[in-house]
Amino acid sequence: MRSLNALLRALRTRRNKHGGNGTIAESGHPGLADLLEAARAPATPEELAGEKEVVAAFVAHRRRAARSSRRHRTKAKIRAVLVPVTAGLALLIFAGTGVAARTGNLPQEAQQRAHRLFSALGVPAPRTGNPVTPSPSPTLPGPRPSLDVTALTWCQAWSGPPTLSREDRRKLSAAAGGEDGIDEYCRALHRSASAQPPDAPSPAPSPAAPPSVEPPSAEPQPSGVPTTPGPAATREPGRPTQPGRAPTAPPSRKPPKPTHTGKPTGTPGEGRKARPNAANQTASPSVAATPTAEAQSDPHE
Amino acid sequence: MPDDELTDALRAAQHGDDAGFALLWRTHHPSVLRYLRVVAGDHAEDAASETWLHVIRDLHRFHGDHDNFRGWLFRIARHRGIDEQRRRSRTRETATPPTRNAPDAAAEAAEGAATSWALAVIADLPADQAEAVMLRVVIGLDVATTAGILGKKPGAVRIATMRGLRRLATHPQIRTREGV
Repeated sequence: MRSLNALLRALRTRRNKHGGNGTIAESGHPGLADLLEAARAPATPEELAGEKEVVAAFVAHRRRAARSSRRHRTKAKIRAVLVPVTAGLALLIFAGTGVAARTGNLPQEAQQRAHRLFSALGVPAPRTGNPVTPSPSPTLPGPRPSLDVTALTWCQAWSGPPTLSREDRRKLSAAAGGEDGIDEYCRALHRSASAQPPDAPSPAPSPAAPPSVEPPSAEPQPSGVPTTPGPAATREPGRPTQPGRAPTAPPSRKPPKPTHTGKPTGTPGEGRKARPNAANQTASPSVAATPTAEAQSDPHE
Repeated sequence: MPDDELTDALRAAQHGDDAGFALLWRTHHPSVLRYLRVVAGDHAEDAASETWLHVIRDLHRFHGDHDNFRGWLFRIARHRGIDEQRRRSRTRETATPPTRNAPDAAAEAAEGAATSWALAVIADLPADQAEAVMLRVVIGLDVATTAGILGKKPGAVRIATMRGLRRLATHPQIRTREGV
């Protein structure tokens, strides 16, 4: 405003020369006043010609905006319903699966997988009662015998001369629940270890059993093929293995057969009939320790 | 036109009333068009259309009274005018002659012609002075609003206005008019 006043003052000095009167710019400079007046003139009809078009554009835009906002609102409404429902459903499924896994109610396969992934969260392995899945057996009972065996060796070291290392000793006392409980723990362990063989044909007793049964089989063998130390070789001659079983087998067997084939060996071994049995035996590592299984398989023939 | 009435019209237009919008348009369109004649020359009509389309699109987002609306409107008009000018000069390099020849005032008696002449004379000024004279003196915006529109400090606007008026006063055609 100040600069304009300065300008107007300047204009006033000129106006004085002209001796005009009235308002500032106009009086001071008629030409300038006319110019500004012309520039400020009321609107001409041409200038206002486009009103209809502009107002039509305005109305069209409002309608479009209203429609799009309505569509927007319905979309938002649908979303407002759909999102919580979907989220709730997903949560329900997730939580249900979690609970089922935690309580071990999933189907075998799924439970197994869940156990493998989330065992840290307490997801149990599938119940092993079902014979269909062989996998659970290696996972669950696997680690326990190994612990027992190591604990057993610790116990032996503990009772014998002081050969137990400090680390092992710490572990043993931890397993026994204290230094004082070690003796009791070891005794219990020994008891359970000695009780194990009779009730289960587990691999533990097999190494112990063969020596007692095998020697008799080795003696009659010389008449047969000499190269028969392994279980694979027992298949070929057929006879040599049978004599080994001879002391155990006869009770379950019918006597007529030995007369048919047994020529070099004086034992009541069975010639041809022995072969399937031999195949049976090779399947299991403990050859002579499975008399009951043999006895069962024989009647089929 | 009282400001209150125009503020009401603005509110009505913002709520979708076409009568209110029409009143705003009738009130301001001549000024916008004349200002754009100075800024964008021959492309003023197109720039004015663009301006009003922009106003229609963003009117619901505008906050303020009628004075604010005027400032907003002319800021949009300025940008649209500059855009239009730039686009035309890019497509036709020779489209903008450096000097516009103002129509002879004596020859044109009609009122619209006088307005065109006046605008042409003002457009002959350097751009910043021409805009300052248009917004401050012809349209009558205050210094702060004009400074906001032009992106300048108020002092610079004052100086540009003063220099523009002084230069207009020394314009040959005005001097000849002075003698009439």
